[in-house]
Amino acid sequence: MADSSTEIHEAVALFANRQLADCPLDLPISDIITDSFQYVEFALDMEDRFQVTFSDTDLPSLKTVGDVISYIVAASGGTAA
Amino acid sequence: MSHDDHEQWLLSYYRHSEIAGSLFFGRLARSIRKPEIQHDLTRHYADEAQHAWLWTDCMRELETAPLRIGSAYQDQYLEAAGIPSNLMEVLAITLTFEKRVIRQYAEHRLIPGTSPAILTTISRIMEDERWHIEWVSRALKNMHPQYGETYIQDTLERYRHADEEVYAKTMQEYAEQLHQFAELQEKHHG
Repeated sequence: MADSSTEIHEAVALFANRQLADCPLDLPISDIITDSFQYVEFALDMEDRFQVTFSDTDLPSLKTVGDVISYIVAASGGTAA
Repeated sequence: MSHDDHEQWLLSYYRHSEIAGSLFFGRLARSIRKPEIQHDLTRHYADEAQHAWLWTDCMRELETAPLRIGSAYQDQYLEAAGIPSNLMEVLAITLTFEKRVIRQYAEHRLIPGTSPAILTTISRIMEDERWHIEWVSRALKNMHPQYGETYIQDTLERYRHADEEVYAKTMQEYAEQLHQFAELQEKHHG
């Protein structure tokens, strides 16, 4: 279960190899994921960290870092801080 | 193209495909942290790299050299099948792909007069491929409680359809090479 949106935000920034300040909520996911395999790696990383299962239709619909955080928080039964 | 040209293309294709598989599983092995999957997946990655080496070695024994191949089967696979979004989907696409690989090698092995070096290489690789299917099938079965049996079966079915689509659309060159090679081989040995 995701503990908080901050924890998820940190995990996304870590995946992107960026400081948290350089990974704003409105940052497009396409800036982080540049090829189809990175997409797979990102999905597996988030699944592993937060026990959230993305479907093949969910993940492509998430356009920004903020969208991903909201999705994971909702899927893990929490609320965004 | 001569018999030797077809053979060179086919072996180069197999080598290229094994390298593509190795790179794919290498990246997965780096990402996945679940211990029970990580262990088998890392062996799978090592097997694919070993297979690429076996084909390279086989080609040297046959006094030929690998050609540069444009794209592997895997390269078109994700596009047609959809990009896997979770671990179960990654394993489902792997299972579908491994079954295709086994069929290709089995078909090649049946061509009369195939050189002993190629037969030995295919036999060694197929032994590993059978284990690949076994461990991935087991892992998928163990995922029933997490993902649900229906979702897993539906995903396998979706990838099976995609596999047929990719094979029909993009594998003409491989099929033609194999067919022409088999014909020339039959003339030569028949």
